[in-house]
Amino acid sequence: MKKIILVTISAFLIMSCGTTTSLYYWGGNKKGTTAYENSAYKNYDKQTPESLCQLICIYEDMVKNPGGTRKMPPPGICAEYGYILLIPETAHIFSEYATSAQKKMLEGTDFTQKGKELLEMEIRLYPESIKFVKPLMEKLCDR
Amino acid sequence: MKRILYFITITMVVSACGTSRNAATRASQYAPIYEEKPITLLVMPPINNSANVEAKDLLYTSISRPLIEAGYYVISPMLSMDILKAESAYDSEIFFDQNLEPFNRYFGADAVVFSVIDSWTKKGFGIETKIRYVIKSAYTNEIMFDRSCDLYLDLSINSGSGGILGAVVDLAASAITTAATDHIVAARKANYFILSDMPRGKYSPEYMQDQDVKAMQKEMSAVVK
Repeated sequence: MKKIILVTISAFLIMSCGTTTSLYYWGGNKKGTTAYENSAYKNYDKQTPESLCQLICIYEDMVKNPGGTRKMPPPGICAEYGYILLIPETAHIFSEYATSAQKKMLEGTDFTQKGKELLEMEIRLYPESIKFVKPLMEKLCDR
Repeated sequence: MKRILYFITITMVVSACGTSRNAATRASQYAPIYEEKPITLLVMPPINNSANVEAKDLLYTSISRPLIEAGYYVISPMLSMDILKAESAYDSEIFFDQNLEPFNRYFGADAVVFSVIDSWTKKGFGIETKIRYVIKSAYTNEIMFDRSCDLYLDLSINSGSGGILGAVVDLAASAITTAATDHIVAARKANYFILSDMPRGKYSPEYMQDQDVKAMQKEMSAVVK
């Protein structure tokens, strides 16, 4: 009987291995969508200072707490986050409109420095991005 | 009894992990992908033939995730959009039949993702979409992936309570859900449904190991909850 139970448990374990697992962490799931997708669409559709602050914090969470099977931020995320931080108005908007909890997440952050580091990180994690990210980095950092 | 249990167990394992061996496998349907092995994809803004003006943005902002989860490097649509707009290249219709090599030169894209929205309407307690996805090589212009799908997102609610009163409650709840449910959900489900058939990319553990997986039909319809 023990053998049967053991085989059955093993079967269930093998079956669960076949289920789809995410390669990356996208800021958590809610009703089949992710925090990143919701926030990115809101910010794209009707950008407000609040939607931008929320998106920044989701990026921060994704970069700081990478998950999924690859344990690194998804392709493009460091580039997007770096790009947003390098926009001159971003630091001002964040200091004016972010909630205290959001401000705490980025306490003491130099937005320009972090923006550059994130673009470099995108190239380091995904070398194929160099063709696209390097010119972007030169353009943004020469402003 | 023991034999039966062993048989059931083995059947469960085989059915869970085995891939279907069918003539229409990913290898036969998407041969150019296995030959060219694209790594970097550029998503073009959708071509919107539907009456829903928001459908274009809804779809555009949600195409990249299923492709990234399939193991590809997808150039951020948020970043590429600004460049495409600046270069007056935001209208995908113009590029669909053109030489795509410039996208390789400027973005480093190996392949370009086009999507065509033919229908996007509310129907009953759900949303009906008809979308075609085409992925073309940025080196040869060859079509690598071409699938279209009539997808109905069913948003009706079944509370499980029986009787006439239960039916009325379900009807009311469904009406509220349909009104309140964001079309983003429909866009994501449509993208996930079709693009789940893509051969796995470089960053997937299944990369170059999924040739025998059964592929979807070129044109199909489905209802998703």
